[in-house]
Amino acid sequence: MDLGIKGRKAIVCAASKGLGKACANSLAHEGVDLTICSRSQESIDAAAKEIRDATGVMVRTVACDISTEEGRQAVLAACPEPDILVNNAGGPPHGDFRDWDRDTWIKALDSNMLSAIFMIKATVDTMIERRFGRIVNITSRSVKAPILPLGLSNGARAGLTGFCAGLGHQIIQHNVTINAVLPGSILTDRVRDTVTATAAKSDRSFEELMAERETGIPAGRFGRAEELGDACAYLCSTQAGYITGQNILLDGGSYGGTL
Amino acid sequence: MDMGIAGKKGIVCAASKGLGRGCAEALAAEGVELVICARTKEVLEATAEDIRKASGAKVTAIACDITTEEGRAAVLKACPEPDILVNNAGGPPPGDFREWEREDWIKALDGNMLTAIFLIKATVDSMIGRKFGRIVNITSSSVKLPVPYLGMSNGARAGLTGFVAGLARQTVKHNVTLNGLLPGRFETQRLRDNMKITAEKAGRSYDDMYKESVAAATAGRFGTPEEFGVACAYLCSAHAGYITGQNLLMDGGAFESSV
Repeated sequence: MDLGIKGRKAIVCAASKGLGKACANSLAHEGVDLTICSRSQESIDAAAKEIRDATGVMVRTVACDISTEEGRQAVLAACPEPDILVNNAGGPPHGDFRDWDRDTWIKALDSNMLSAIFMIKATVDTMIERRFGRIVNITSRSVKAPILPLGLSNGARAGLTGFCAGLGHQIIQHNVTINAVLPGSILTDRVRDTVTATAAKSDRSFEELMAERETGIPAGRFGRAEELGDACAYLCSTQAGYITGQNILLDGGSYGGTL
Repeated sequence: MDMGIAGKKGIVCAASKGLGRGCAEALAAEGVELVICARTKEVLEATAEDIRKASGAKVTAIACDITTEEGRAAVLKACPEPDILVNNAGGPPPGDFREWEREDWIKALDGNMLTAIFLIKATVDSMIGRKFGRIVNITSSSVKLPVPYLGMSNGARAGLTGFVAGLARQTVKHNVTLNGLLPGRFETQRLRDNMKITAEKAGRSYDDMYKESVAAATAGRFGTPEEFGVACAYLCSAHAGYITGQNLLMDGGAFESSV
């Protein structure tokens, strides 16, 4: 199916690897020109080359920290009027809330809530003018079911979700939508690294630990980053203009709630 | 029904009027010893005196701004080990998110998210130690249904809700619960003040607008602070120990969801 977004311009944040890169890839396969960023110039350039070679689209790179004002300015200078915005950022650290002071909270809120809000603020009005806009926030399954050691993430991402729920209502009439993709257990480098580290500390093998984790997922397997990228591309399609304010869980059926 | 909390100690924030006062009154009627706070000393002390007279409960009034570290320290000094904590704070201003700077957001997050989190942080462990704790966050119906012009409230209150969802599951085994109470439209000074402003802007009479709003309400009326207080007292009761992480909407049926 042609998603109808060939030639559109997109910003994809934190796209050098994992879920962000998968979103960039899926959009590129639909002919979307990209501006992608991550903190390391080397890895963002490598990702860009890979995407260009595979798809032939134009890919601009910006090495910056998107959770800072300067980082956002740099990305917006490279692509001031995107049709598509994919907000993504690494999550805050896990831990016990008793150890978190106000600075810790503000840092988490800056990177996983306010950063996305300011990117939206900077781009939504030109989307409205052109009567086309697709904003996708990559949040987490923690928005539906909290992850206990990730209190900072539970709070910040739910905050972003709450704000976007309201804004979504106000802009849908202009064919500008805001949705979120909520990854559950997706097999990224981060997951592989975690399991490798756990295996190294125990007397069990990587394969054994992976198999055990997979058993706990109703789907019997981890999700693939490409699957998440495709979900993102679908939400960015012309055909998805009647979907807004939705939070789509990609978790292989792990979340147990009826709604 | 005896709520089984006579002699317990409770903190109720922003309790000089409206919903906070409703909660304080209902808890005092159950024999809870209270520390209440609000910014305006005169109004707060008058409320404290009213509650003492009506219930015979011990009520300590602390005039402070609970959204500041100093304010919280003053309240906690008066009641370092509460059994009950009712978090409440006036909401952030309405407006268009295009006009909000990072400072505006941080102020909203401090007031309607982090203040509650820090009061919880300061009190939850002693609740766990005593095997009894009831924490109620007064948030807003916007947690379930965003209010378009209250974007900062939508974001901050949803953020608090997301964090609390995780913590609630970690403390319930110690008989410490955390729940949200989500008011829709209530008969409060704030509602009347807001309606006066809206009426003035629209060049209409307050009385007409009030009647019209009441007629448009699903329940045919606004809620009362007294009934809100009773809901809070119930969630704080000895009988409510198996209810946690819930968000109880009190909106007279305004939000149309099936579940």
